[in-house]
Formats: sequence, structure tokens, C-alpha cells
Amino acid sequence: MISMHFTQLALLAFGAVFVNNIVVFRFLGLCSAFSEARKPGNSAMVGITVAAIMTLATLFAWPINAFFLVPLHLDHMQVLIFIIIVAALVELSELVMLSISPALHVRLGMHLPSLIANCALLGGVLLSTGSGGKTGDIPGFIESLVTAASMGAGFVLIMVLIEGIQERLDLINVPAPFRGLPILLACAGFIALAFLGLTGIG
Amino acid sequence: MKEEISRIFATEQPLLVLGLGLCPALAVTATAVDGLAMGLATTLVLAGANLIASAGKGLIPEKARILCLVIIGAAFASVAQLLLRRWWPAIELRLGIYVPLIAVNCLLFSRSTVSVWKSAAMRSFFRGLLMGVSFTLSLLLISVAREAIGSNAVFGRALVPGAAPVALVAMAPGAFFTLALVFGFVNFWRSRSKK
Repeated sequence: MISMHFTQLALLAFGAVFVNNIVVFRFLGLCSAFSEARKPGNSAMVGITVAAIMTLATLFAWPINAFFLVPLHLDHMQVLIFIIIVAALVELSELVMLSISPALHVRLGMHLPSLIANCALLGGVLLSTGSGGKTGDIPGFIESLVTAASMGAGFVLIMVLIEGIQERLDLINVPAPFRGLPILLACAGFIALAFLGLTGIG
Repeated sequence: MKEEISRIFATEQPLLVLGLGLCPALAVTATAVDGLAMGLATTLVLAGANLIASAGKGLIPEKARILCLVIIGAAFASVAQLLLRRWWPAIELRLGIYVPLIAVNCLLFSRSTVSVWKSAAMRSFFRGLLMGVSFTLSLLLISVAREAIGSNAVFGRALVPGAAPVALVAMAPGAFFTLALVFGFVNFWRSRSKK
């Protein structure tokens, strides 16, 4: 019984990382994936921060959603409530980073406040708690947490991939109109094409 | 004002030139109806949030500006979601999380909306309205192209009878490729017209 449950969770996690990747199939967090890649090393750190905040926010958002918003038919309030949770956690993460590693805070400092308006964070919380658009069946607490953590992992994966691609792109001669955003979009398209081959698993 | 209109619709077009609002432009442009509905919802949120934020700018401390703008945006995004649910429930289901996500759309936090905190309320309202209309037009362009190639139809009506659609264009990789081509063409055109 427990092992059966574990298999389901593992499939769920695999699906959230690859099959329904948050960046290339849900198109969330593209702004940060394309801009953070400018400074080597930053993208992984920003990705991990986003993944951690996403998981923590789901930890708080799921009970509020399942015990208050859905039973009271207040599901149109989800965005407002979730955004306040995300904003509080972003502020908290800044304080934690300042006390644990001031050097890291100096490096990422100016990106942190803008994470409040990061669509990967709010989108991740909405997706993992099964809200936004259709209502009805809410995923279980553990499932939600696993989904949020795996979506975070998928986000880190794409951030690191795009950073690597960007380094290669700096060395080759891209046709002038395609420099910058267009060629990055095309590369993201090829990543999506590769991941499309996994459809049907999970 | 005239100069501002030409900026918003041409030289600083939010999506095609500045690259703002990529997430809806990729996610909900598989069919023209979805693109149009998303554009209209974005227009509502931009105009409303600009009006309220600009009217209340004296009450909002400088440190809390992003937070307040996000919360005002979220309120209007909920309004847009409820309106869609009332009048177009099928489209609301298809747009899913992307309607609530307008609250954190880059369009709300772009360079030009920094002026929300400086200009009068009505002026901000009109700027938001114009940016929304301009964004809607670009979404319509992309979604008509993707529906025509990916589903062989425009607004649900079949185009060429018997022709097989290129289904990949309507899927996630096709969204990236279409946008890459559109951006490349816009850059090419801009560099040509500069000479």
C-alpha cells in the first residue's frame, strides 16, 4: 500500500519536472529564465530560491484553500490570498538570506523584491493547489507539496539549461535580427520539443 | 498625447518590441478566440489597476509600491475572472490560471508604468487602456497566425478544406517557434526602417 503510494508520487514528481514542465509547457517564469541567465551562477541560485518559496507557499496555501476558500465558495479570492502569502515569504526569504549568507544577498539582493511579481511563483502555487479556472477536486496535501517541489526542480533545470545555452550563443554568430530574445525563444522551443517526447508518462 | 499613442503602438509596442507579457502570448494564443479574450481581460486589469494605483498614490509609501500594485492587480484579475465565468464559462476554463496571473503580468510593472506614480489618475487610466489595446492587437496577430497554421481555421471557421494542419504549431514548441519568428521579423523590419 505504502509502496504503491510512493510509486504514484514518484510519477507525479516526474510529470511535474518533465512532462508538464512549468517553464516550457506552462510558460511561467520566462522573464526570469531569460534575464537571470546574463550573470553566470545567478540563475541556479534564483531558481533554488523560487523553488523553496513555491514549496513553502503551497504549505500555507493548501490548508487555507481546502478548509476556508473552497468550502465557503470564495475561490475567486484565491489570487488575492495567495499573492499575500507569496509576498510575505519573499520578504522572509530576504531576511533569512541576509542572516545566513550576506554575500549571496548582495549578489541577488536587487532581484529579490521583484520575485513578488514573478509569475512562476504565483502560477506554481495556483497549479499545485489545483486552483485557478476550474474548481472541484482539490489534490491531497502531500500531492500538492510534491507537485510544488517538483515544479520548482523543473524551474531550476530550465534556468541552468538556458544559462548554458546562453554561454554557447555568445560564441557563435547568430543572424542579427535573431540576437537576444528570438534565438532564446527558439532554443526554449527545442527544449519543449525534446520534452514533448515524454508525453504519456506520469 | 499623440506622441504617446505612437510610442505605445509602434516604437515601444509592449509585446513585439519590448518583449513584455511573454507568458500569455505563448500560453493562450493557440486559437484566435482565446487570444482575443485574454487581450480584453488584460486591458481591463491594466486600465483599472493604473486608475486605482494612480489615484491612491499619495497613500502608498514608496517601499510598498510593488506590493500594492500586485494586490490591486489581483483584485482586478479576480473581477476579470468572474466576468468571464459569467459570460464565457467555456473560455474561462480554457484560459485557466492565466487570467488570475494577469495580476503579476510584466505589463503592469514595465518601465512606462513607473509613471503611474507620477501622472494624474485619468492619464494613467488612458495609458493603461492604450497599452491593453496595443497588447490585444499583437495577441490577435499571433493567435490568428497560429490557429490558421496549427488548426487550419480562423475563429473556429475552417480555412482550406482538405488541407492537413501543422499540429505542432498549436502545441507548446510551436508557440516558441512562432514567437521567435515574429520577433525576428520585427527586429529585421526595425533595423531596415532605421537605415
